[in-house]
Parts: sequence; structure tokens; C-alpha cells
Amino acid sequence: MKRILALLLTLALLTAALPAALAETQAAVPDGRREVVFWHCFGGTIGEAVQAVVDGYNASQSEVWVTAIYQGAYDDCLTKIKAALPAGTGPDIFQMFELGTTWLVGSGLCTPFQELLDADPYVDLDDIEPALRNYYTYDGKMQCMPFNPSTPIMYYNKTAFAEAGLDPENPPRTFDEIAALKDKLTVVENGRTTRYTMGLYIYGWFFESFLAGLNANYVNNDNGRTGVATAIEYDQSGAGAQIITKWKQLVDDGVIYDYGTNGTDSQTAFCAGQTCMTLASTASLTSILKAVDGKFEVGTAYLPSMADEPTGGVLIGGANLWIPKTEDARKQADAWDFLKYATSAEVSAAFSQATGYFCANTNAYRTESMQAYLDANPNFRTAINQLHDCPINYATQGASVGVMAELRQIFQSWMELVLQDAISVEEALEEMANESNAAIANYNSTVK
Amino acid sequence: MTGVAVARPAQKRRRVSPLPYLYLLPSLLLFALFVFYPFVKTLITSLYTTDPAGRLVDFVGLSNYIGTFTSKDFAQVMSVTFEFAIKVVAGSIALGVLAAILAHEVTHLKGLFRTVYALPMAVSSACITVICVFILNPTMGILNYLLGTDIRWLKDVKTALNSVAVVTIWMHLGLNYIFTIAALQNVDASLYEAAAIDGAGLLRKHWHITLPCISPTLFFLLIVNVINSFQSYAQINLMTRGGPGKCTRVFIYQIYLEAFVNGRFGNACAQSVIMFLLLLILTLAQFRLEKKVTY
Repeated sequence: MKRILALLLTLALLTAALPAALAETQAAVPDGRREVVFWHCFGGTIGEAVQAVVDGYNASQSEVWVTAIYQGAYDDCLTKIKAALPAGTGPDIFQMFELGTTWLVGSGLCTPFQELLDADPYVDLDDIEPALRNYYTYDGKMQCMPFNPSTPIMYYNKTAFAEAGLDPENPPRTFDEIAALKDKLTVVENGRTTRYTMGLYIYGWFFESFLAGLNANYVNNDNGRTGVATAIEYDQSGAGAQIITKWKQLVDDGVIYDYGTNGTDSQTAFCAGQTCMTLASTASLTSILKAVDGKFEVGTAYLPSMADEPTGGVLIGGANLWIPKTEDARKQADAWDFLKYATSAEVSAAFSQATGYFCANTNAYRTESMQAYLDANPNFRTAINQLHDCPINYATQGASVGVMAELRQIFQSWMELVLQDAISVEEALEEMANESNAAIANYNSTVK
Repeated sequence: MTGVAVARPAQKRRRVSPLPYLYLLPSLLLFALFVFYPFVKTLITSLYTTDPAGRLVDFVGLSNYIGTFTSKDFAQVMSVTFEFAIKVVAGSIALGVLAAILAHEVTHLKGLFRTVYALPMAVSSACITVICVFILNPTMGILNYLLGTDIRWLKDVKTALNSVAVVTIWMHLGLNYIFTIAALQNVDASLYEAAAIDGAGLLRKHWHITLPCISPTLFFLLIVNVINSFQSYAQINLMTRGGPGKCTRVFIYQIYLEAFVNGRFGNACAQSVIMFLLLLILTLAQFRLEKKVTY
């Protein structure tokens, strides 16, 4: 009898625990409100800024309730969306970083942003940052609305520049100019270099941006914009060799300290004053300022060029809002309502100030709060100006290819070996091409 | 293991009660859901190509397996995996046993030492890794500062694998230590007394008495450690991401990349099955060995 009782108890506990566990993951939706599920990719301080946008929306009206769910970093989010959308178990609206764009457009599972906008023009299409509009326009339609766009910029130590007798308001624009600063900025104590001119890590996004700066495409068929990309192009055009050779030269000459593939190491070293310049996303501005904490004055500048002359080309990063297709028109309208709020002038101005991302909706820059903020924090202007100065062409539109994440990985792993003299530039380019082209061919064969 | 056959009294044949099976049901259900079902699914997926959403596209038979064995990365990934596993297993068992014997020998503050050495077990591998990344940072890390060196621990082809291995050894140390110290309690004290009378020193005592006596535990640890080190993922992902180049890309990390970065789930599943078979063979081989070696 005791045994049966124990068994029953166990079963009862198990069955009781399940619904409780399920219920806990979902925040309560207040009575009478229609729920919209929103997947996003930010934890930490930026995650709090996202939650603030959601809370603001939920407080602003009484019909719809947005439940924000953090789904892990960009890559994890992409993996989950790839699994959930085709199965019909996805969210009502979600955030997706730029590398997911080609896959999402190809899948046809989302309603293009421009179609929704045409039906309800809450913002004039011309008021959306032209470079972003261009970047996310496929098949003549803008596919998604940028929520937290960014570009890579250069951060530099103004105090170190001034101490070395350089003009802190006139940062270098090309890598050749950076190389020329080595003797002035490098500090050697007891035979050990304690401060380098520049710290850099191997990140595919930087390489892609350097390519854009040289007006060179990453993949063929005009970066996959006029036809399906079938192979990488940077190995053929000479642009890849130019960038990799110069990058390696700068590392060999001791101008750049190479932090491998670790962005955190590179950023921490800059904040500790061990490197005078570094590259990072515009979105790192807030965290860099916080980490430096007034120890020295931080400046921001355009991404330096690998060419002899500054070109201004740069590649967009960051993430966008997508709304999946659904039979439920009410649901989609509710999701759209949230998108309108989240990318409205006032809200995106506040989000931008909290994070360092810039605003896709240019009306945000005309708000009083943003005007005042930019006047007080001129560093935030750099990213905006850089984007405005960026020429619009296939190269700066970025590569449209479904396996971009893998291509980035391939570049990074061979680049590491190049910088360590384990392999020559030519051999590395050949390996990059072999592996990348095989990955593209494999992808094209499975997408039917 | 004592080898003494105990004669059992003839038992009356009893009706088989269904109750034991009912007790097993909850765990069986959980196993079915989280182990058996995914395993079968993995086997099936490994025979197909998949689209980026992980849906099966074409049945390709064993070509994912053949592709894995013939790919030019396979030999390198395998040699990295084995080199890593051998270093980690040897290092963590040796140090774990050494620490346990030392802690067993001290007479003062026994509790304190036991706790201190077991601590690595209580910290998650991700936490340990993040801290070690700071320690090993080439320009700001305390290790280079203390040694007065400029070694790029995690970023140099020559040192990266060893650096990750040392961190992993430390992570596995706690488990080995705990099991060894438990085994030491069971070593018959009279053996030590006899050895002392025969005039055996500290080294001789442990070499000839302690190690043979705890050898069953050591073999258990060997098996667990081999499996653990083959499955080391967090520290690789957080410290080197398989780099520089591919010099710390162990098999499990290759599987992760193939599935979640490259989106080729069919291939990744085939590699998981290969990994499973590899571990199975290694474990069986060790069991064979155990029968021969342990006392």
C-alpha cells in the first residue's frame, strides 16, 4: 500500500510540476489584451533598453500586450528562427541581424516591411536612412525595418594623441596614416611594449567593411544582388589580397597588436589604455565610455581605409524587425502597431541614446531630446555622419548569400594563420575560396 | 569483485510483479523523450542532406559519413581531439590523485584541504573559462605580468591547445580528487601498518599499496575523464573558438560549427554518430583492460 501511495505521489508531483514550469516561462497577459510575442537577441544593458521599449508600448495603450522573449545572441536567434518559422511555431514579430536577411527573404515566410508600410505609411520612406533602405531592399522592396543599425567605427585615445603632440581632433583616415604614427604612440618600458598604436581583432565584419571601402564585392553577381551568388569574388578581384597583405604588414611591423578573434580582449585593452586606437561597432560606444570612466578622453572616427585615400565606404551591421506572414490579420496588425511604436521618432531616439545604435527613422534626429544629446555627446555623431557619407553601390550594399555566417568563419580561421606566418597570403586566399565556394554550392543545392 | 561465489538458497519461483516496471516508467519516459528519441532522430538525419532550416531534403545514404572521413579537415581535427584528450586525462587524473594523497596525509585542517581541492567542481565551466581568459590575456593578463613574458597564450598556434588543456585539467581536477579521496578511505589500514613494519617509505607505500587498492576507482575515473574531455565544448568555444586557424578545433566543436554555424545538420548528425561510436569503442576497450589490470 505504501509503495502504491509513493508511486501515485511521484506521478502526481511530476504532472503537477509540468504545467507550473510551462506557466512560469510566460508572463501574465492582462485580461482583455491581445498578446504579441516578440523575440529579441539582447541580454545585459542593451536588453534592458529593449525591455524599456516594450514596457513603454504596453503602457501606451490598453489593447495589445507585447511579451518580449530573449532568445540568445544573434547566431542563436537565427538558428531558432530557422527552426520555428517553417514549423509555424515562431513569434509574431522578431529581431534578426543582418546575416539572416538573405535566408529570410529567400524563405518567403515574412511579409515585406514595405508592403505593410504602403498600407499604413507611419513614416515617409524617404525619411528612412537611405543607406539602410538600400541595404535591406531586395526585389525592389524594403524587406524589414532596422531596429538597431550600426557600423564599425574607430575609437581612439584623444589624451594619448595630445600627449604625443598629435592633433586629437584630426584622427588618421587610412591605415597608412596609422602606420606613420607608430613611433609617436608606441610606449616601450624595460624592453616590453606597454602601449601599442592600435589593437585589432580578426572579425569578418571588419574585412567585409574594408572590402566595401575598396568598392569591391564579397561574392559574385554584384554581391548576389543581380543573381544568385555562386562564388566569392574577393579572391579574384585582388581586393582580398590587398587587405590581407596590408593587415599582416601592420601586425608584423608592430603597428597593430593582434588580439586573435577575441573582441572583448581588444576592447578591454583599449579601455585600459594599452592600445591607442581600435575598431568596434558604434553600439560599443556606451560600454567603452563606461569602462574608460574618464581615465582618458575617447574620440570616435570613421573606419580607416585600406586604400591610399579615404573612401568612406562602410558596411552596415545590427538587426531589424521582421513580421512573419500569418492567416491571422488581427495578429499581424497588432505586431505592426508595435513595430510602428518601436521605430517611431521619439522611441528610437531614446533607444539610440541608451545604446549607441543609430536611428533608421531620421525623424528621430529632429527630436529635441536627440538634438540636445548629440550636442552634449559629439562622439555619437560620428556613426551618423559616416553613414551619410557612405556611397551607395553593390559593394556597400553587402553580400547577399545564405551562408554568410559560415563564410565569415572561414575567413577568420585562415586569417589567424596568415597573421602567425603559418601560411602565405596566396595559400590562404586559395583555401578561403575552396571552402567558401563549396559552402555556397552546398547551400544552393539544398535550397530549392 | 571479491571473486567469492556465494551459494544462494534455492528460491521459490515468484510471480513477476509489475511494480518495478512502474517505478522505472518516469525515468524511462524522460529517457525516451530526451535520449532515445533524439538518438533515433540523429541516426535518421545523418542519412539525409538538410536545408538551412534543418528539414530533410535528399536521402543520401552513407555519403555524409564518407564525406566526413574523406574531408581534408578530418585527420587534423582527430589528431587535435586525441592530443587534447590524452593531455587532459593524464594531467587531471595524475594531479587529482596527487592532491588526494596529499590531503589524505595531512593531519591538521583536513576538512579545509578537502574542501579547497574539491572547489573547482562547484564552479561552472563557463565561469572558469571567462576568468581564465582574463588571466591569459596577452597584454593585460596577470599571468604574463607575473612571469614578465609576452606570450600570446590563446592566440599562438604553439601554445593555444596546451593553454586550453591546462584550464580543462583544472576544471576536471575536483571530480578526480573527490573520487580518489573517497577510495582512499577504504584502503585497509592494516596494509599500511604491515608496510610500515617492513620499513616502506612514503613513495613505496603509495606506489605498492595505495595505487593498486584504488585501481577500480582509477579505472572508473579514466572512463569518465575520457568521455568528458572528448566532450569539452564550453572552454573551446569561449577561449579560442577552435583557433588560431583550426589548431584547437576538437571534434565536438566541429560538430557544433557544422550544425549551428554552417547549417548542415545532416553532416553534423553523421559526425555525432561517429563521435558516439568512437566513445563506445574507447569505453569498451577500457572495460576489457580493467578486467586484466585491476586487482
